[in-house]
Amino acid sequence: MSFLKRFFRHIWMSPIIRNRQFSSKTLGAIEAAVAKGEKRHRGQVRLVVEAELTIPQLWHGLSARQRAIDVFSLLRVWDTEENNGVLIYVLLADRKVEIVADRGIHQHAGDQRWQAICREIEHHYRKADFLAGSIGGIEKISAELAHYFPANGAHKNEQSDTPVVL
Amino acid sequence: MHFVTLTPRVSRLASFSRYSHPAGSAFCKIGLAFLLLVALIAFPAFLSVALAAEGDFQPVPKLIKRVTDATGTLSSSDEAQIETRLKDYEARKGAQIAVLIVGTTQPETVFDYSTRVMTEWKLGRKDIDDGVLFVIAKNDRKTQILVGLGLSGSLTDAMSKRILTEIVAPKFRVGDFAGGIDDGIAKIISVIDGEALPPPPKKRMASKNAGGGGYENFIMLAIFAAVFVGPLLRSLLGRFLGASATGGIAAAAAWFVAGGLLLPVISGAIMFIAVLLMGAMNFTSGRGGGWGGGFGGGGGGSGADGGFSGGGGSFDGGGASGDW
Repeated sequence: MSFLKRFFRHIWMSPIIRNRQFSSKTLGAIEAAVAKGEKRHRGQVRLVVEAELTIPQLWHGLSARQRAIDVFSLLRVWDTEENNGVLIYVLLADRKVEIVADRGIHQHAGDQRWQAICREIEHHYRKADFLAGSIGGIEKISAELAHYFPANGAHKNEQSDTPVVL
Repeated sequence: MHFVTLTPRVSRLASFSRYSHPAGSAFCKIGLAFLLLVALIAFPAFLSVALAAEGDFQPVPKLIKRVTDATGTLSSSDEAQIETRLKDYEARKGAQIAVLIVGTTQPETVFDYSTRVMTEWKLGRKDIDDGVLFVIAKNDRKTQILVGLGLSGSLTDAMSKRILTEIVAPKFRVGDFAGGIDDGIAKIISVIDGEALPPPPKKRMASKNAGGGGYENFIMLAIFAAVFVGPLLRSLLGRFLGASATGGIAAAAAWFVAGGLLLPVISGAIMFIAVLLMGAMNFTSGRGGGWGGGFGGGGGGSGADGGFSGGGGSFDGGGASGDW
């Protein structure tokens, strides 16, 4: 029954809804926020929005968390010099947000920090304020990275700042 | 009458979908739609072949005259008249037209039987391949026009079908075989002489011809919808709305072409399902791999994530889950 509910939630999802929640203006602001944050640290922050999953993924019961880790791999967010990439993955149909942090930053920040940041993003998303939630999350994650991997001037931008819409 | 172009089209479609299959996810999607379409199209053809699979084949008569009547349907004067017409045309243009009337082609389809006759008779001039074979299976109530490659540019399969359904069939239906054959031959001659047929009647065809008459158009529309409209609407509207719109368009198109209720409903449903399932063949990203359940799956405040353990991987990053 819960499978069917989830199935129909994903079937119903449409690019129209996605574009309303993550407009090009929002996506532009996210890119700017990522770039601004990465001026202060050597880490890499990426945000990915996915409207819905495919039918085979639903059939296999792929959770938002598992999907987030797949996306972390697919987009090679792990491919950083100091293992300090952080992914924010948003699955609109499931109303889920996932933070996936590579081990370099995770060993310093720890689960509690991610949980706190995640709660804050949820708080805004629940009010349908996807702009404030995303920007706030990126700023908080950037603050963590700036604390443990401060910019040293010579670091290159290892990954694109542009948010990905899957 | 329903078999004029069926068999070659099906095989072309099948090879198309095979070709597009391995070339990545977009092609996989199109491939799935094609498969469903081919299933829809191939089923009736397959059925007719399966039904005709047993028993001895009908013999091919010797080619002695241009008109071969194995049933004694035509009077000798009618036969002579048609013979003369064909002979005159052959003398004038060189193209060779032959008429064959048999009782039945069972267990083969009229198409298969005609193909055998064509192979044996070798109508038309060598190299030019300008022969036309007109077969009437009287007791089966089937007709078939086979065209040599040299003439298939002007006398297309679609044109042959229209000659059969619009000119020949009405006369046959009232028992006027000589008239039907004569008119059909006259039209074949004028078509390969370069004259086009008048536009088809606007009204939908009578139910007897609906399936056959609209079949070809319907297949073209369905392919068009599957390849272009379905993915387009789906990417614009999303899975459900896109599938609904495509199904609706397919149903409307089927109704417009063939009328009735059954064909539109079936084609609409098939297109709906095809568009809905597009991408379902792409299993590459279907499974998350080795993380067998170390995660809480994100009940808002649960925070039950225990790190990235459980899959045997050495990745020990972290993160958080949440919902809203």
